[in-house]
Amino acid sequence: MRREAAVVARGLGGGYTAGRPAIEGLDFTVPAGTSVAVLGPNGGGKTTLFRALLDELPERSGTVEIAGPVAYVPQTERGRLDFPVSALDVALMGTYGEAPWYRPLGRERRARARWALERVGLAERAGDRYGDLSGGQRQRALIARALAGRARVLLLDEPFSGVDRPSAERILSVLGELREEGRVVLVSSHDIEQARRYDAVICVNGRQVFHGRPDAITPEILRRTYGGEIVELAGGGRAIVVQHHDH
Amino acid sequence: MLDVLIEPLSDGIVRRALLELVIAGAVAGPLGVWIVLYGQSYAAESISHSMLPGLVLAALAGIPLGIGAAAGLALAAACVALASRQRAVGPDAAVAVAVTALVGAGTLLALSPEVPVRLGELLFGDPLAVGTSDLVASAALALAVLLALAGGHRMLALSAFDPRSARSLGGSDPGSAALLLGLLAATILIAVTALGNLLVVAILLAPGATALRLSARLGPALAVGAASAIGAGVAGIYVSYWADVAAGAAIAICAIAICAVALLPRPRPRRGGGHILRRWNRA
Repeated sequence: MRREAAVVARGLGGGYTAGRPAIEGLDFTVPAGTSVAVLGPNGGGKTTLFRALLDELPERSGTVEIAGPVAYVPQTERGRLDFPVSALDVALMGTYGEAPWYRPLGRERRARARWALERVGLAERAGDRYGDLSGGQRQRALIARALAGRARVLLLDEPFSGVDRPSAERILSVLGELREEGRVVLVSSHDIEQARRYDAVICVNGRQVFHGRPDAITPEILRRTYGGEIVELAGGGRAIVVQHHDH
Repeated sequence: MLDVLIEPLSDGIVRRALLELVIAGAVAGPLGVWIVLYGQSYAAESISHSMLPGLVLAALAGIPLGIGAAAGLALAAACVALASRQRAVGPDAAVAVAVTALVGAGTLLALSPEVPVRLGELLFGDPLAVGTSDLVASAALALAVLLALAGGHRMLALSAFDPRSARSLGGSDPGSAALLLGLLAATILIAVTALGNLLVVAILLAPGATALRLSARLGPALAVGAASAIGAGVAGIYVSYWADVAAGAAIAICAIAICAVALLPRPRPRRGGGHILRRWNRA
């Protein structure tokens, strides 16, 4: 079955100051209904790539074509927990951009926000304060915000950091369902083992090191992606990344 | 008991003061919630304090204080904005230096013998000196601020909650920051005659902190902010009337007292239970 391309990047590059690109020369095509892991070291350009796809970079070169609305899902670890909103309020925020400020949100958009929460398994927590949810539930509330905004392409920034294993599995199964519906899910991650569960992998370290199926990743590709951050485990060719956090 | 509440109302001066504080509180409370949510309390305090030269120059020139306050606020906002970009000494230190310089310049001017009003009135305000024309101007400006707060509500919420995603959701970080600064200047302008440039932040920040302590949702927080700011204003006027103390200071103390009570440790609510704010927040 030939599937329509949902994200096409050609010679994509850019950064935050003129003349100093954080990423350059990215070429990839992502068909609809695909999940993609974006691997790379800290500062390697994963978030910059997402900003480029959202057209939010001060400096951008190359071209991007995206079919349908695109939504960014940030790390919950960096969100504010003291903000006075419920999970439903957060989902509703996904619909804010659709109508002018003077028009009330209306029944249809409220219903869509509730549907989105249901979609990620949070219907029963709709009235709970966002800050009272667990890390995994907050991540799912942010995915619901993207779904309420009718996103066809979701860019998730390290959705599993600070999330326990069962919650990570839950998020992964939600992402799998979204992919089945024909949406595109791009997930930036440090977890090389988990990346094997996606349809495709893009390795970025300033430049595009690799784009292809996860089983085509070789230790050499990982070394070129992560440099000194990679550690190979004995037996079975498994590898992990030792993170040097700078934030 | 009822006489305590009714007797002051027979005085036109008190009635005007009460009306002025209801108008100022209805605006300052909700805006205070946003100021606290955006972490801009220090900027709000700095801007309100450093408009002193504008107030004093208006008093010297014999023009309405409101015009001087507006000019002083523009100068203060520009200085604070410039200082907060200082990387060499750090934004906090640069803003502190700018504020001290402006307050110092205002005090020097205020000590000149030509100044017709006392420095104390500029610093601490006098709600009992509010005239009918002040009331009309305050009401018009307050209406504009409330309309802007309603119109900008979604944009402010997007940026305050998640600035990194705001743009992709139809919001704007620079737009929210500019809106907040503009509304802050307008609100200070409304309240400065009654509370002076030192106490005006009391009915802005204390109700904001009170509301965020008591409310788990944004809508109720804005309402609690308005109610506690209005409550502090009205209570302060009564305290001032019966205890014969300065009205501006009484209002500031009432606002702080309400905030202090709200910040007290709360008993844990019973299961399924009865805390009225809890039920309201979940509605």
